Amino acid sequence: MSNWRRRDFLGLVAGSAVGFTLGKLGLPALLGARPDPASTTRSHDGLDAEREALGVCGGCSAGCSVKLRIVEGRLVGLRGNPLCPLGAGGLCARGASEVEAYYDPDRIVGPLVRDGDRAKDRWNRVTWDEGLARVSQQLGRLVGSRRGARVGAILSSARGSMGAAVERALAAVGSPHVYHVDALRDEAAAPFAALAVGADRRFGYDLETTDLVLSLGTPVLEGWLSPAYVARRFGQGRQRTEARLRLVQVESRMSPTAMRADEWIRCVPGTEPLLALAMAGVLLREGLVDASAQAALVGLAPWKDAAGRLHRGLRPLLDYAYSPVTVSRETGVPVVDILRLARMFGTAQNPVAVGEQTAGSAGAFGLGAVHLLNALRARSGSRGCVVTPDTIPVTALGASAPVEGRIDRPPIASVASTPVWRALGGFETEGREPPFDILFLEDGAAMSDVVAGDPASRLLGKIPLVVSFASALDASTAAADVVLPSTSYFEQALDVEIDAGGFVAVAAARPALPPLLDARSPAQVVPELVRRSGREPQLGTEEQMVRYRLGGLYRARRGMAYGTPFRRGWMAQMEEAGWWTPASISEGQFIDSVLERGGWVDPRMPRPGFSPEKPYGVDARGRGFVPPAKALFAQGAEDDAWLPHNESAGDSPGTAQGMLLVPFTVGVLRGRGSPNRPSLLALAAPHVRAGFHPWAELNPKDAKRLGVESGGKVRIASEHGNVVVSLRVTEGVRPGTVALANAPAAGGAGRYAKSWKAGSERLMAGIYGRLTGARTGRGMRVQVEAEPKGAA
Amino acid sequence: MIGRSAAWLTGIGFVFALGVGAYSSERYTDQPFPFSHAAHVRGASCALCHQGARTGPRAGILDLVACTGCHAVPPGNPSGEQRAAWQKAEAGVALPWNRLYRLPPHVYFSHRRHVVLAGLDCSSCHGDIAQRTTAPIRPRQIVKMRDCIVCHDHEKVTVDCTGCHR
Amino acid sequence: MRWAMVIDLGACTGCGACVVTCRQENNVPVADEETFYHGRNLDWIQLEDQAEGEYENLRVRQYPLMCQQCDKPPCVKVCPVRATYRDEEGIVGQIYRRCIGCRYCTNACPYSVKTFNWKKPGWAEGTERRQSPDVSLRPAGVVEKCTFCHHRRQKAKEAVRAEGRELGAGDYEPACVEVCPAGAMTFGDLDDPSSPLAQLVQDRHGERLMDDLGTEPKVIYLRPPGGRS
Repeated sequence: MSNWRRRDFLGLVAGSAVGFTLGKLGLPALLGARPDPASTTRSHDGLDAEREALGVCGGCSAGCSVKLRIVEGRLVGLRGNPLCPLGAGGLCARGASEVEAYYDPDRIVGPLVRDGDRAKDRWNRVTWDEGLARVSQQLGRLVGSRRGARVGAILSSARGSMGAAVERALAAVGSPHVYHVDALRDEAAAPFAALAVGADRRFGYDLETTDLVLSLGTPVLEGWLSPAYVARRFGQGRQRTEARLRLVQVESRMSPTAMRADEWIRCVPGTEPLLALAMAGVLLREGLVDASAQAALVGLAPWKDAAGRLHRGLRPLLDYAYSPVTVSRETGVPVVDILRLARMFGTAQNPVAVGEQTAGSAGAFGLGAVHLLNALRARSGSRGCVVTPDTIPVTALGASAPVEGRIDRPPIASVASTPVWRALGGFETEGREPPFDILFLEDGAAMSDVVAGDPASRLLGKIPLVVSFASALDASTAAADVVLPSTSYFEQALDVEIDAGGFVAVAAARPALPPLLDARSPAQVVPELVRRSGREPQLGTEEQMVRYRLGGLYRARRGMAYGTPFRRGWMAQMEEAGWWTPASISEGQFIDSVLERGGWVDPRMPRPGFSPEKPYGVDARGRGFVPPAKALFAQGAEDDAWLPHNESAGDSPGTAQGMLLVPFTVGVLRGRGSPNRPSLLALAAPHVRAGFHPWAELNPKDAKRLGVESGGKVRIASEHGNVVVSLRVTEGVRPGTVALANAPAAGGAGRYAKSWKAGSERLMAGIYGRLTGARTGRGMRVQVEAEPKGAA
Repeated sequence: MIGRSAAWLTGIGFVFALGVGAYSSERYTDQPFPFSHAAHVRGASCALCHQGARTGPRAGILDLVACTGCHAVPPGNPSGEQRAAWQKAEAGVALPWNRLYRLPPHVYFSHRRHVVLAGLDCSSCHGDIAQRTTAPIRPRQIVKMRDCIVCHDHEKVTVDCTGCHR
Repeated sequence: MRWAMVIDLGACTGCGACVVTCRQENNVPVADEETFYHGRNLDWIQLEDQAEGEYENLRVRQYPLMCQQCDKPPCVKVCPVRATYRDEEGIVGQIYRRCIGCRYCTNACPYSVKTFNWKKPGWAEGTERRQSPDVSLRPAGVVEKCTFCHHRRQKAKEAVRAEGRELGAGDYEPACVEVCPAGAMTFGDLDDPSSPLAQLVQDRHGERLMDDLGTEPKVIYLRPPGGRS
């Protein structure tokens, strides 16, 4: 370019300008007009672009009513329904993550059939016809040979329209085997309620007026009962100036609940029921119990039964075996604290003791120990906090035509409401064949804490056909041969029965959205399978079913559609006086109003379980905490075996040297639905910066002794199994104990949840409470050692 | 000589390509069906069809008017695609119009605010559409923040950042 | 009018619903395991905790922490381009288009509540459908933080103007306040002495974080009962 002159330079500049302009003008002519690629919206963001619809949250089985924000047909947000009697507009963290779960990138897109045996993780995508045919073939064979009772279903949803549809469908083939598992409740809660008061459901807890919550190991504020309801009552109770709520948390580890408690009582892990028994003894000795409660409880003082045998009675046992000095030694809680707590409980206006645990139950007798406190402080005629919920008068769907070979009552449960998985495990340990040829599992949460290698899991492996309705890969799909994915609750017409707070309610909703994926609700799939196998369950559409069930509420002349607290109070008064104002509208209008408001609620609490005529803790036959053993169990058992006692101490001979295990739940990860929720996994433990995978906690003294540091890995072994987990060192753990997160069976294979696999339940496999079979394990001993880096 | 011409041609060609690159962001928006405002409006107000302008906070404006109420078949010489879309509209699915005016997502613009509360006329931003016989293929102007601020300043309305940015 | 928030730590259960809802409402991207462990996950609100003592006398205080919407914000002082500023109603805005990503503000903030997008936020396939249309997506290289959900204020202002009145304290609330199941959060106008918010602050002697620094934060915490702090 060295021979360029000024002219050439100017020419270049002019040429650039010309070229530039030509480019600007010429390109569209060259390419022609083309349409603007649309953004996420097409054109119509006009009138119906945004709408709000009601739904029922599917995060757990509590049944909160939610309002969904739908923009251009997409779900983009949700909030609580202000009229919901549980949350009153608030939501728990899991409920708030339902939008995230709805769009889980690892959701199952359609029916799957396993390719090969169950050890392989290969699936084939099939059409609904093919998937249904796979199952209905087997079902047809069973029906044809009159063995329809060999079909079972285990659901993670609360009782409701879906459960009723499945029940009726299975009844049409002759099977009564529909079971519900609740991830947020202690497995022993229902059997205990059956023992204590002959209830067919577990207790609800009415926390509205309580001024003292004494929690013996229960993660009250972390995924228990109905988290939205508990949080609401806790918040209200703490913000009151009169009879302000106090929370006393008794456990060995500083859990998020203990952080917020007014008092944290540090006790040796697994000994919480002992503390309850010591306190009961103090209450009785110091006369801090209600006189009529004491009089009504049979079995406190020595008594003679009909055959003339003398029973020692509970009171002498409390004095002898559970004195404050003895218990102080066992639990590590100073005697003064035991006395002080007992007196606090004895003088509070409306106290409640809770002992339900979800990572290692206290067992039915451990719960009995805790509820003994409630029984002693129950006051004649008053509402109290522990409530046996009324039955909900929805229309029972009942059975359709009679079926040959039908069995009406499940033979599995020898004790009322035994956790079904423990009963199945019992089949295995007794060497019996599985009772089912086909088992339906709603999702991973329906498997509660079934762990690979324990009897229930082995039995599951022997069932020829396992079908999962899960919407994401989880423990149930790992065990299944066919996956028929379910729609989200937001895509179904459904109702869910609510009884967590003592009052009864039914959340109900129409479908708010069309199905996002090629999924179908089990309420449609199971009846369809039954039809294809040759029987007619006589069920309509989901909405027809819901309306049919809600019709029973109208005919019972009770309750109202969800309304404001003022309206509920007003309706309760009217009902007390015998009026029922919705009588002025038709049944159809009543049902419409229920669906438009989000649900139905009975504004009156059930009549108190305790009254001079029918005291708490005494069943219909007049027996108290000496349980109705004669009807259910073999005679000759020692008295003490049936009285409330500490059932939760693990028995692992040979490891008496190790550290005590403290299994704990991560509340937000307990529940149903997709486990692949990164917001919740990140929230698992903000105080130790853990999440996304299970972790163990050690006290700094123990960590130093073992030579491990935060972030390193440790191997924890019991005689039943071992796990390798990441470690966090924190002062919140009692020296000599190791806390280990419990990984509920809902841990899955999605990209976020894939590391949430094995936790404390693996160590506790095979340790079950004597009566109910609920998994215990608190207080068992384990070996802990550093795991070298680089090991798997 | 040849070398220099080659240099010139290369230069022009190169800059032509640059021009293409620089202006390739300009797009034309075509609509799936021909629509003549002049034939349909006849003095009615814009909000008769574009009802979103009056009612909502959302910046939407086009309504789900089903032209199929009057037109049994698409006007003009419809292609197979156009007929198919027409039939869907009869079933209630909205017609696939393409969006002409679009603001970036970090801006909150509400038609209701400007049309109803401020009383602006549609033509002050969109021009005189009522006389057109074809659908506009480009917006009257690419709206920049400067355009908003000039008017806001003039009308003494808020210029607070958080009032519009989100 | 000065928007402020009161959080009753006695009522807070630490459930984290506020954290999850804020993420959904404001299109804050989720973290996967690796991002989380590198401390690079974005949170507009998080549960912060302070622990003291040993096991026998351990006290842990956990509280939700978000932008304190200071009246004298240090982040505003240092921003070279005025991408963050305090508006007339006390909300400290963050304008993504102006932000040049120098991160002076994230360093200046004593509460460490401003987060920086080190890379383009990723949305796993299909999850972009859950994005709320009311809040823009932030590109890489800008700072973001809690905005007291001022996008809700925008819509609320329009709605009340259509009714012919001015915006009042009860007309909008951020998503976290709305979802809190314990009712531990209150949102309102600090300048109105008769408002529930002002009365809570007065009666319960609310405290502010690091108020000796002179930032005058507008998030006020009420101690749990019994003085446990």
